[in-house]
Amino acid sequence: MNDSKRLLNIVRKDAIAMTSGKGNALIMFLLLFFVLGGLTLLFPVSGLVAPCIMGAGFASMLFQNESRYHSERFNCVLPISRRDLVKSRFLLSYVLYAAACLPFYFVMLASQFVIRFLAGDEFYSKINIIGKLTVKTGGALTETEALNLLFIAAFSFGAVLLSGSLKSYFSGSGFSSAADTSDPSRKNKMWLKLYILAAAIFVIWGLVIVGIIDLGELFDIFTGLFSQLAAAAGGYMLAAVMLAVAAMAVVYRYICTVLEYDEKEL
Amino acid sequence: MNRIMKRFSAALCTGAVLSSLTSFAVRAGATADTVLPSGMTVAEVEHELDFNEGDVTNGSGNKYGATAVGIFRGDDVLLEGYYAKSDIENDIPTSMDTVFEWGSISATLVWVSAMQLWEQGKLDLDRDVREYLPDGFFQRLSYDDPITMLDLMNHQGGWQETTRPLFVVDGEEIPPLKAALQDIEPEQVFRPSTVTAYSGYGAAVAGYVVECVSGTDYCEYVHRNILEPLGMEHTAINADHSDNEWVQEQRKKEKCYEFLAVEYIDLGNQLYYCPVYPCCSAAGTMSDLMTYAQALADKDSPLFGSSDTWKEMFTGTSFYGDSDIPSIAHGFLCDEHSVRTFGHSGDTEMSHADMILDLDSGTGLVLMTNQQGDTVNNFAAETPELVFGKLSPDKYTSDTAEKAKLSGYYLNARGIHKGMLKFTDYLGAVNAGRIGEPLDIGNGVYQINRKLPTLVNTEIRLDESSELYGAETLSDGTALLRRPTEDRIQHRYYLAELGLLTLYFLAAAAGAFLILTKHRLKKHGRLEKSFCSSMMTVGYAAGIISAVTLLTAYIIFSRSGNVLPEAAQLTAGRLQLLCVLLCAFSAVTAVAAVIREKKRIVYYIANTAYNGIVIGAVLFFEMYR
Repeated sequence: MNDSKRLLNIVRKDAIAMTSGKGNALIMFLLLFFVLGGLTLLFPVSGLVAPCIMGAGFASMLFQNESRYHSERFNCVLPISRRDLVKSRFLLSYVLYAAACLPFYFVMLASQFVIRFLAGDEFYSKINIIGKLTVKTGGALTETEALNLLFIAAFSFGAVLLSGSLKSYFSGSGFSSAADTSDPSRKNKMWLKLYILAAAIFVIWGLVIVGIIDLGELFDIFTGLFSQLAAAAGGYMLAAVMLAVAAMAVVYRYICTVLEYDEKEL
Repeated sequence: MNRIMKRFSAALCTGAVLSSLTSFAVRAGATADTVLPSGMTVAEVEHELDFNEGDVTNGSGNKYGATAVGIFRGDDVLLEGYYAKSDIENDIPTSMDTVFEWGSISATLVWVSAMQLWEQGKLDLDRDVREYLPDGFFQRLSYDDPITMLDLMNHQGGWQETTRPLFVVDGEEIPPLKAALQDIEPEQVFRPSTVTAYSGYGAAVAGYVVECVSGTDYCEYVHRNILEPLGMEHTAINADHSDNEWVQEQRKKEKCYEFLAVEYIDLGNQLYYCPVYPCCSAAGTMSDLMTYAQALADKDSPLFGSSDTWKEMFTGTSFYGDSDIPSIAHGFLCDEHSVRTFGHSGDTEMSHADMILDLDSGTGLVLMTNQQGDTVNNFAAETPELVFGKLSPDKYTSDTAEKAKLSGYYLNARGIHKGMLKFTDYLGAVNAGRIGEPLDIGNGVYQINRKLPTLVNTEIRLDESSELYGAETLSDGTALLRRPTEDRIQHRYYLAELGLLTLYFLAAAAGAFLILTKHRLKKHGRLEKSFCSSMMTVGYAAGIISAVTLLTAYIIFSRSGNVLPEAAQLTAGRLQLLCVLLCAFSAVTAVAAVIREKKRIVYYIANTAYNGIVIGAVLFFEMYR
């Protein structure tokens, strides 16, 4: 059986598991979709929350039946490689994530007209946060471009969150994780890392208090740099950067997940 | 009863006087109905200014710092108003004694001085200024073409913005003018007499030319020939204002404010000294500036021996396209409101100032505030249009005017075009198709009508405005959009160059992820150790260091008031060169690996592409300079 057929089989199995049983994922997803979608129609900016929520909770939502019925252990005895399982679940999650986010984008676009039609231009002008953001760019971005940029930012952020939640899912899925911390040398290394991190935070905090690092000015500079990047080429440069960085983060997390899941003991 | 009524009236009058202590406007009663060029009366304008001032006292909190406004026509002062507080904490209202900085309006003193010398036959505006300056004065010229006084007045000397410190903090460390000019000399990036890019350096050089031609220290020359004849006793022009003790003492007391979100930030007195003082150091009271403006607006100006000189000074020297619509007149910037105006504005770390003149009616406006920027508060943003009106969409156009289509990306001429901060240019490009709705009014002139979104309280308002652009093509085929203070220059390959910059930053991010991935693989024992693999990691690290170095240089540049100290430039430049070498070595290693091993070709090619992008970006954007 070649790679793609194998992956599709796993995806099919997961899809069945998702939609069967009590409180299945499909119902939860539809509920989330309609509640958030309705809110987005009235307040366009709410649509930005959807990718973030889905990114954070998708993994557990999609694979909750496995956890409920402890069927995840079977994956380890059936002739499926762990690498293929990770690959297929990442693939399935991201395809569904993209398919779920896209409608929110169109609802955000539509809501501009709906609110104007229902409540008038004056009310729309007062609640139009995206419009106010474009004012800050001095007209370099139109409202639609600003909306595209914000949506891509939310989509990228949600994609990174999703990779994290998938990694957590695989690292905590029915396996004993005692092997990770039972080794004393690993424990010591972990504590050393924590000490170094705490010391670094303390030093940086001290520099901020003393005034050597001016957080306000640093913040101003980075927001200035970002707003200039956003204004360049209608915002598409910054959008491409965000998508690319998100893709890199996802690939990195995928590799880490494969490595850790491969070595997990039953 | 009479005594009670008298006491009551006295109390009422006292209350009225006390309640107006935060602002006052002096106006002669007969001038209230005087109609200004905008069509509004003085009374209506005063009402608008009082309305802005009212925001301060109507519970909105202190929104404005000190603002002084003066409107005149000929010798008559139509309105002289002092608004809000010069010191919010100590509750000191703005007054006739409040001192503001002129900023770039100081350069007009240079232009007036130059015209005086021209009138006396001592200065030829069309002669190369190097003939007046000491030998070897300029060290960074790229073109042999002459740089005339007219070029300096038109800001066409060809210099880019300097990245060297324009201001010093310590008043004891101010070098002489000649040394200061040679110290901050920027690169010449355009051929003289071609591209307009406002240059404070150019204006300061012109001031030094006045010094050389007159044989007198520039400060002394201006005092003797401009300030003293006009009776301007509350103005100083020297770098540390030591030429007027009263101004020097007052200036130390003045404060500067920045309005951020919902509160006022006290920035202290923002006292900096500019060694190249002719371009920006003048400071004084608003009434002194108004006296100067009145002298400029007077056809029989006491500044010149003959009215012909005055006429010559306000004759255009730079024009829009092939038309006779001037953009600059001997250093004075021409603006199109409902009438044509001449003037200048100025900004320093401490304040903003405007001086605008309608020469036909003799009406003038001076405005000074202790906040930076021309839209920093409603006074600065709205008053010029209240007095002079807006350029109406049909002033130069008719029903037969054709709609034009502008396209392409244009970069601002005033910026940094050579050196390690060259990349900042690319972040401020303008898409010509987005400028507005251009109308072709002939002779290479376009009137662009725009609806710019602005935030008024919490609502978005579309502000209609019109602006003129002149379209020109340079001898090398580069398209130009001419504006008074800076042209916009077309970049044919802008998107490709911007793409390279984007890929550079992305490559740095990819390098970080690749290093993290390699670390993980090594931790899980999945990484084959090899020289080639190590070299590739070195290449990734070099890409990251290059991007971090560039961002650090930019942060230092922004934080230091658009100045990059020499030490920072040297360090950053050398680091970038080192990164280029490391990336080149990594790329060569990868190519050698492809030839030798003939496996994992895609991986090695990707690595070579990564290094190629970093090297290409560093060289193209001159990050090593």
